[in-house]
Amino acid sequence: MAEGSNAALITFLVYTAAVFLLAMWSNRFAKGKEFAGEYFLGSRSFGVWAFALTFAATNASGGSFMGFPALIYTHGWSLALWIAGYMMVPLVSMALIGKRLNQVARECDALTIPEVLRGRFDSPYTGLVATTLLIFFMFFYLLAQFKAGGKILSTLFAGEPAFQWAVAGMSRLVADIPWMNQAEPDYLVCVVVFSAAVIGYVVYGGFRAVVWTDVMQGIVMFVGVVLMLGLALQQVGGLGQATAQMAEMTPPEHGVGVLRISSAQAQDTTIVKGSWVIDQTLVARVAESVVIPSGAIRSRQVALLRITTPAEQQRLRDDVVDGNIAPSSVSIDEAKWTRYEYGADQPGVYLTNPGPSPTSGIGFLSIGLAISFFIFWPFGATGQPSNMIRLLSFKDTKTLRYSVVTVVVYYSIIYFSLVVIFCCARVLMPGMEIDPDRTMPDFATRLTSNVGMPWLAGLLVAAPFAAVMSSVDSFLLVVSSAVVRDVYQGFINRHASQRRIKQLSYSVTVIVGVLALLFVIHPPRYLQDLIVFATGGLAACFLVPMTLSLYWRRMTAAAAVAGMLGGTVTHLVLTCWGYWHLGAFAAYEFLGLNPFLWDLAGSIGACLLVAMLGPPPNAKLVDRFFKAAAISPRR
Amino acid sequence: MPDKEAETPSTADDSLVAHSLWEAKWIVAIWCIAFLWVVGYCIGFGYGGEGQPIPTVWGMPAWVFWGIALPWGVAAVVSSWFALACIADEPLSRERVTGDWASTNEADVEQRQDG
Repeated sequence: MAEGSNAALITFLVYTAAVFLLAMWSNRFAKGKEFAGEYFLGSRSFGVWAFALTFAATNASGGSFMGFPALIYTHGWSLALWIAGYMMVPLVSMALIGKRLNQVARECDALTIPEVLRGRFDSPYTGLVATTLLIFFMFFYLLAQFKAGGKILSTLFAGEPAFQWAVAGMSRLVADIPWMNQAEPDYLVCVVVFSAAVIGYVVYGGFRAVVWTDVMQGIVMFVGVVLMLGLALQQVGGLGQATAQMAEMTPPEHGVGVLRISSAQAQDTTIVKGSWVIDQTLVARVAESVVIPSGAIRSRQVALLRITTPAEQQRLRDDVVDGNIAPSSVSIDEAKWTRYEYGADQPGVYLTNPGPSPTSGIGFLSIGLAISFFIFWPFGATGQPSNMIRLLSFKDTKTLRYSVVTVVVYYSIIYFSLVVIFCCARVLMPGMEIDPDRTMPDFATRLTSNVGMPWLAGLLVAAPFAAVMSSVDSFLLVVSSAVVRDVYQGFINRHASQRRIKQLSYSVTVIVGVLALLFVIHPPRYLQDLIVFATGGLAACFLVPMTLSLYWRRMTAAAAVAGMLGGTVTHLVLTCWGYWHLGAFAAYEFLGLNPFLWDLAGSIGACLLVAMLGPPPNAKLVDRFFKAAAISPRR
Repeated sequence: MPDKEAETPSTADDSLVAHSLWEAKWIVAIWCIAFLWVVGYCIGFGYGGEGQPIPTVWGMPAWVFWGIALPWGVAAVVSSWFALACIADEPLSRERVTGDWASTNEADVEQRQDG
């Protein structure tokens, strides 16, 4: 484990050094160029590889490499249907509006998405509404990714002596600081390190650094997934073998119980999280670390997980595959077990839809949700400002076309491979339901240790880290560009000097990053739900108004504002309804459909109503954006 | 003396707009076909069946192969073909006409005639 942690630390340091080198190179590249255009858009000069990989890497966030593997492990092959909409993401999100958006942005000399809307309608207030909503939703997204980055690093460094030393130092440093002294010190160290690294290279290198680090991160993610696929299939004995074993599986049972030792000890007895308690009648895993004090024979109540599949139980009795075995003197008392709401005692439930679920009586993926996600993935991606801003940066249509092909291949390999890999993980590494987010890093460590290459774990775990970084840097720049370009230059000081814009850009990026860091010192409990809230909200807000602005002559500034507000309000109403109905921060799935569909309906309805009932658009603006360029006189 | 080329406002639609709109419609059509195939097949053959033997193809459940893996491969080929063969290459920068179109151009013509 120590060797693996050392490898992980070395990989992280090498990776971070490479990122900063790219940032320094980008900063040098920017000298002599107009600051804003270079800092926020890389001077619209990117070719196929840079454009394709920045697009792909930005979309593939920490969710793709931490959350998605956890879902596959927990719910089985139904995740193939859940993610299937990604087959159309490249064509839809890049080519549906890419060419036209790039053209309109050049016509308006726009560097940000609110600027495109402002220029299209010659309406500063349309731009202001767009900026406000963008900053609102993007900030939630940023918080979630900062937390994900901190979590990944804490997994990466666990067991590393230098890290433990830093954690001890951080504990002492914040001991007397209110608020901070309540945070877990290992997480605090990681989130500070992560934030400092990302803020540093984004501030220093701007959009070009973001793009080139995305290229590197995209390569790391791709190589990591391909390597894991090969190792997983080899170690499980082929995909057919994995599926056959999954066919026998029944879902585990979560529970609580008390750990007992046969006789009191002179010292404390620690049973670490992940330990297996195995006897002739029970195979269970301890879901949290616990200490039985010296002189006592029972612990407090702890969370547990019981394996129910007979074949899995026997394999674990024969050979524990992961984690420690608790001492043979340890047994479980007073256990209460909870069956899955859907799929309990049903062999084959991991091979079919809707897939098992511990909490939902209708399973993981109902038909309504399956329909919704096939719509959400491609069209939701189209509506993300972080994707739209990239569509402003390619240099010509040939770059766009070849990039679509590149991203098609990239996503096809990555996403379907992840489904296969983590179905294999279900077979090779039982009991990860105690902490599903650890599935990816733990499986990477296990696969590489089994072939005698623990150093490779560092590269494989760098993949989710790369995914988070590639998303955070983009979001950070989108927010800071909105503040500087759309608010400051748009309303406060239109003729700001290059020097002033530069100072402000650096300052705002730092401030936004530090604010995000402060908010995630105590990460909100429902942070994953915040990601869904922010993603859905951004798509609901921008997809329809932007698409209609690009293609519909009748579209007006008022209709664009109505569309943005219509989508946002619908999204907020459904989120509040979900909170009231479910007691959790999750939007209500009206008629069993993903809220995104209702948000879109709200946005479309508002756009059409206001456009058709209001005054027609300015004819000169329509001519400017829809007519061929005028003929100039020749000598 | 400069050539007297007629100064008339352009009435022709921007070809990029027309091409992009045509491409967008076909992209949505391709998405619809993918949707009907994947979601339709998976709803029909991918739900239920727990406790019964589930057929497999190439090591994965048969509904995954026919309803997701195969259409994914087809979608990849079709998307690539569409991007390479159907999306038109055209200039992205338009010639700028700033301010009021007619007056700008009248001033422009006078300036060139004087100059």
